Amino acid sequence: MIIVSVNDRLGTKAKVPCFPSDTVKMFKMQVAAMIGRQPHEIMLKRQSERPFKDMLTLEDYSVSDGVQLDLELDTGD
Amino acid sequence: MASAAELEEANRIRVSLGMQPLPVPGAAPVSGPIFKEADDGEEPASTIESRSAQGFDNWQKLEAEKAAKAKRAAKKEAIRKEVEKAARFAKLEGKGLADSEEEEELDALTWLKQQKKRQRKLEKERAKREAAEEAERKKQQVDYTAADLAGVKVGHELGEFDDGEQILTLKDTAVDVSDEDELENADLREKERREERLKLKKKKPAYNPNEADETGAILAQYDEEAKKRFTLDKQGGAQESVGLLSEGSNAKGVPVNLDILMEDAPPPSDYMDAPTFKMRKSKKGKPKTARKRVADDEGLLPADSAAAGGRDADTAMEGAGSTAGRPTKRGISDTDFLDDDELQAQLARHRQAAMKRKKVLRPEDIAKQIREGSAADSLPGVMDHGDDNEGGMVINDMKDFLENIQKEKEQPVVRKPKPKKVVVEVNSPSPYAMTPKDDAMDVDQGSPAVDDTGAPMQSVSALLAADANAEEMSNTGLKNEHTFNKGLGATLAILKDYGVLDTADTRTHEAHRARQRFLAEKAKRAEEADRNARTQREEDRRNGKLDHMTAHQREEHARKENERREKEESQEMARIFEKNYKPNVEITYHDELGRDMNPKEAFKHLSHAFHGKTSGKGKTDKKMKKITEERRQLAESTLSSIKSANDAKRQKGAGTGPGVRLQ
Repeated sequence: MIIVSVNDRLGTKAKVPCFPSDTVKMFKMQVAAMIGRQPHEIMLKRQSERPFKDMLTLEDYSVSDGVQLDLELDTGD
Repeated sequence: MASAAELEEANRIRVSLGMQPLPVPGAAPVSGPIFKEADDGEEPASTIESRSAQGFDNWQKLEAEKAAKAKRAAKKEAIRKEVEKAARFAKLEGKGLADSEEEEELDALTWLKQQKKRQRKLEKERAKREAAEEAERKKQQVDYTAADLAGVKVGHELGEFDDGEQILTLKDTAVDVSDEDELENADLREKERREERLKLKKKKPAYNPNEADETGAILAQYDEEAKKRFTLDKQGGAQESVGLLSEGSNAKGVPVNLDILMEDAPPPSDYMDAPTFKMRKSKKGKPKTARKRVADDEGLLPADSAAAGGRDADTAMEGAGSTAGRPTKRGISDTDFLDDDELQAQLARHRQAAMKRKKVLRPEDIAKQIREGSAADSLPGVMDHGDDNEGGMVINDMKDFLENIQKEKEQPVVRKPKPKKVVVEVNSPSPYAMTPKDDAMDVDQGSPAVDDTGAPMQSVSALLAADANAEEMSNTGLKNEHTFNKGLGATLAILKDYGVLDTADTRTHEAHRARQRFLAEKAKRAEEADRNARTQREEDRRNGKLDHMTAHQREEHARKENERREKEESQEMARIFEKNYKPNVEITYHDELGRDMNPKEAFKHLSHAFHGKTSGKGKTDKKMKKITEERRQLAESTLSSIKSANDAKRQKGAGTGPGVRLQ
């Protein structure tokens, strides 16, 4: 089990316990449940990298315990 | 770390999303069996978990394998050790030295009894072996006799063998060479090789220029030595066939020395021989009265004869007749030489006489002579047959060449300074029919072939002394040039000659001198005025003129005095200026290369400077080219001695050429 912190640097901050084998989509659902925003409006990315894709797992992105991900608004395009 | 409450919250979400709940550390492990997920048609090891599980399995398998291998190796090692141990301690089989030969022990009696039998057996064996050897030998002898060796070549000369038995072996040759067998003696061959090596070690040069007799054996070094061989016949004798044959084929015929065709002496010259020169010692006490007469060719005549000029006519010509030594000619001395035709006719006659003396040889005569020579073996026509090793070269160019060189060596050319003037006053019509009465005889010897006195050397030194006077004028009659090797003055003169150094004209020098004089005078005048002022002030102070004045009056007085003095000085200066000052104002412009600019160029330069703009690239290039050309010409004229011609040419080119004049 790992704990991943999600932060949009505008005041929204969350620590999400999860498995590395969780898909990004599932992770987004958890984040959405925690911060009260629709999962399709959530975009996750490492700082200055491409946004995470839903079908890959956190492990694929080498997300380990204590990693902080940037939370942004996904406008759909 | 998230707290248990948070985890539970998260788990709630996860479960609601249909995900695996997170393990809560405080909570009891999941009760009941945990089932594996059903295989839903995915290929094995497609998920991370299954893959990691498989990885662990693999690792375990590898570990097990490794352990098994180590175990097997240990077992093998143990077995090997056991086998070695067993082998080490196994008892050796077979009979030892100490073991008896036979099973039953032999007592001395039986051994003695059997001894005879054993001896007989040994004897029989030996006899059999000897018989076999004999038979073998016999068979060999039958097989190989001297007759078999007939026709076999032996690679030595007969004379090489010394007395005693000789062992000949087959010569070592290549297998594929289908040559006949050749026998050779290893010792002899070795000896030959050794001799050859020694010969090579001597390093005798093939060509010896100092060799006394030049038989011209240079090419002989490349000759191949004829192989000496003989062939065995049926009786074991030798017939020297091969050697003779090869010698016959290599023979170069009878070498004939053609030196007999050459004359013993070189062909006689058309001219007479150089005279034998007899010098007479001068008598010291004689007065030198007639010295003026021979002054002209003082350097040409030997000093002795010059000194002898002072003697009276009889003694002088007694010397001249023998020393000047025109050879006395047999039979033709009565002829006169008047011009070249006469001389030629004379020479032709001389030649004919010489030819008549010479025996005419016809070819038949030569052949006969050679034949006789070969028969008698003592004539020079045929060379000695014994030393035809020297190559047999008889005619060769090298010989002629060397002979010529030696001839030159024998008659070294005496370099004699070329005479300036030859005065031959011959009273008698024929130089050959000279009589002692020819008193005014100044003869320049054509060739001073004097070998035992220093007279020629003296004459040379005298000539040099005479030349020293005429050194200024060269042979061409032109004035000799200055050379750099005579110091700074000469160098300056050369530079001035070629116009490299501008010799400032005297006017500028004068002006400079005048200016310096003027400046000196001015300085002197100023100093004098200074001194005058100082003495006047001293005097004023001394005679108490200033004592009854107030400070103000004193100052006033000093000022007045100064003014007066200055006025006087300036008047004096004005006078001097008027008299002496002649300013010479010259405004010269120099460009950045240090050249003088003429007014036009100067104006151009000023204009360019004023407008801040210069000529274009083309014009600048042209200018630079012109400048370099000027410099080059200057340098050229320094070096070449025909500066004036050069100048003329240049001016001509400038005047007549179609080119544009550049400024």
